[in-house]
Amino acid sequence: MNKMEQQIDKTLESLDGIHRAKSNYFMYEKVMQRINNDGLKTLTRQSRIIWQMAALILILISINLLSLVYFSKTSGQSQDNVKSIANEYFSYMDPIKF
Amino acid sequence: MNEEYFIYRLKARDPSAFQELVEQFRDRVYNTALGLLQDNKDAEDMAQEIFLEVYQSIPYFRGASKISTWIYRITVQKSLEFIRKQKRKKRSATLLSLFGKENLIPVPGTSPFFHPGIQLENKERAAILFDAIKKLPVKQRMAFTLNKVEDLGYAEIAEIMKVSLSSVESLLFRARQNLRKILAGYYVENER
Repeated sequence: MNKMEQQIDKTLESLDGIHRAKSNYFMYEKVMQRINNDGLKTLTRQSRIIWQMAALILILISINLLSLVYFSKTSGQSQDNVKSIANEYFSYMDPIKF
Repeated sequence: MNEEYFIYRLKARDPSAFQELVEQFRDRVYNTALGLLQDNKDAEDMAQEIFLEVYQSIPYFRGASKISTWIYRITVQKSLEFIRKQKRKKRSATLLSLFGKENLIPVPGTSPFFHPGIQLENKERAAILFDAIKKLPVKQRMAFTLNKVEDLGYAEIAEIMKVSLSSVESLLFRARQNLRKILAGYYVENER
């Protein structure tokens, strides 16, 4: 086996007997801190969504109410229009007054 | 530890159960992330991310695999996401450097990586090997790291990677072949 191959073999074997690296002793505390921070962020995000939905529903209800009020006012006028058009159109049917 | 009862306690959000989980797995998670990311700070942050994901995913864990397999799987997936993100950053930085704007994106360093668990006489060679491992295709890198750094057996690696045992054998064989080629190139270059 040539020198190069020996070098490569030694390098490939350099991880033999490797020990597991030790993590931070306070890993649990750090993770819990992140969970609590993330929990607050999630709560804020959820509250924001709820408020947005409530606002949207309120807007839709308002539009519906306004439309109802508007159309109920104008429906009286449109009925009068319909009557006058009908009277004019069918006026030929009125009995002739002598 | 009765695994079924442990899972039940975790799903019930028993705080002591999650603490036990973190204590039991923190070195494994950190060491695996360290082997894949080859940076102490990144591995530390990644380990926290992984446990955060574990905490959020516990309600959805069906117990089809062992807890250890599930946690290793999350570790590997998140670490590989991070590696892909870093590669994209490097590509963007390379592109920007064509326009003289390379400073806009901070690029991760390329200093040699010294794993703390390596014996002193092997540290230099191991650093060369870790650099070569970075150049392997993703699946070969994954399998080789799980086997050599985390000392996992083929069967466990197959479960984590969701591949067959023969696939793991093939991945490790090809990884060693590719590493030989990469190292040969390195030693030829450094003899000049």
